[in-house]
Amino acid sequence: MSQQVIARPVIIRVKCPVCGEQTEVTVSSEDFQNALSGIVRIPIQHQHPTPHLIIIDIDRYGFIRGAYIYRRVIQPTKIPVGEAIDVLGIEKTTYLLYYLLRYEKLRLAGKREIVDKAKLLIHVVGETTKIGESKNVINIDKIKKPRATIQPLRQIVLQSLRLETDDAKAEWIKGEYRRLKDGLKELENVFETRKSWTLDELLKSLKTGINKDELRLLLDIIEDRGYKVSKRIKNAEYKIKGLFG
Amino acid sequence: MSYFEFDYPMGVFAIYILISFVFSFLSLYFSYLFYFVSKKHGIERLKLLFLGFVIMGSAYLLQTIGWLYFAKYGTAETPITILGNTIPFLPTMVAFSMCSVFCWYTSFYVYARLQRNDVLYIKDYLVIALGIIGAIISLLPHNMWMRSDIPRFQEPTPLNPNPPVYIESVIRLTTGLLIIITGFMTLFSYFLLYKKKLREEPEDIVLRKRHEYLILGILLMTFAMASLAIRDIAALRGREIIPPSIVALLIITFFQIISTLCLYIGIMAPEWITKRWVKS
Repeated sequence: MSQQVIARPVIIRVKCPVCGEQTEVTVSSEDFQNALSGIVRIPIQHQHPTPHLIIIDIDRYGFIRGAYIYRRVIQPTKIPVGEAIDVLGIEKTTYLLYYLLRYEKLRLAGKREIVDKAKLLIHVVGETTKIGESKNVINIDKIKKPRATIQPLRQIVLQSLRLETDDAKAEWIKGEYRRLKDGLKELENVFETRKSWTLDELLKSLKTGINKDELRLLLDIIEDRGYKVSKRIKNAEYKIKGLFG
Repeated sequence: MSYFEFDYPMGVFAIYILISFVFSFLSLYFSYLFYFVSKKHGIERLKLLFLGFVIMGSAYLLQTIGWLYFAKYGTAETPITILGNTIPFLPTMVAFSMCSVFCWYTSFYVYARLQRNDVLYIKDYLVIALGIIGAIISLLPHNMWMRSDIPRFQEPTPLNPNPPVYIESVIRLTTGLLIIITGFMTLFSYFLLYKKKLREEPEDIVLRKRHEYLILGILLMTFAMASLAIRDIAALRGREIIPPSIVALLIITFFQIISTLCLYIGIMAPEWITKRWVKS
């Protein structure tokens, strides 16, 4: 039997391992545009018995690769996460998450209304201490697209739109952001050694659960921070990036 | 010897075909890599290099298939019908590959300028215009090698078998000169970028060597392609002193081998050679 890549929206039924509720998830080819490695992580929110969040990993052929509990209990929040993303837009939110991962300290500029919404998101991911006086000024109105693998971040923002409540959106964005931040910290420690690796070797050596595209994002960030990444990664794409990027 | 009849030693022909295949596949591989890196890492500029390499790789592949077609039928003018149009396959593909070289140079030029200055100035647009003009001229029938029905400015007669000016010679010479100009402008712009990178990272021997090999590859490509087009200089004076076969072919093959090797070393930086650079 030949496998067919998802071209039109397909409905996938999944049974929740916590409450047993069966949920229908619609997956379309657009979901894979930012999931370059071919697997999309979809958060699903259930309200009973207590609000909880599960994740399903779906491949290009519509097969469920994994379904697991993300949060047994969703912490309530008063932050209007959905509204903040609506005002900022998908792209600006994605870029903001990138710059939060990239810089230790940054200053926000731009229209007050938009800056306030950005601050709400920063509060959600728990990075309020990063905001203050800094030479790294991020003008939210004219925020620049980073030269990096930002698709994993865009995917986080896009998938948050599937979630109905602000509580679940906040839980999802915070959880994914922290996972990447942990990966970044681990990667920086790994880069203190004098080794060189292929992407697959490096991915295997990391304890944080990240995929290859997320690893590319983190490598772009630490390269931007001054690490000689292109010289340490043996893959052809990094040789090209080192010379032409 | 008629205008389009060739007298190749089989060995040289085989080497040329092999090199052309290697070159075209390598170009297509580079184009894939540039596209991949551009898409994955959000470096939009690399799409320029992707375009340059994909056009050149495809054109060379088609041209090499054309050479095999020529070898099979013994004449370059065996037509082929594509989408209802009948064209002499090999001559058209030769013209297309010349056009692709202009595209390749222009893409490299624009990339190097943008990488260095972030903006394009009027002089850059002039070079781009030159590249576009060259690409258009190279598609004229006069640049289609080994076509006997090319319109000539002055037809040969039994009394005057080599009339002083062949229009195709003028056009080929123009094409050749444009290749040289565009090639050297690209080389110069890349050299300026190389200087900038040297200032930024003066200690990095591997990066320096890779840029140097790349510059050498671009330079040798100019020699290879220009010899295709300007071999007709003598024809302007009424006779062809370089026969349109073996010499041109040898020159092209020689430069193309070294150019391909240099581009490969510059772009891919294989580990065995980078270790040697570091040791030295």
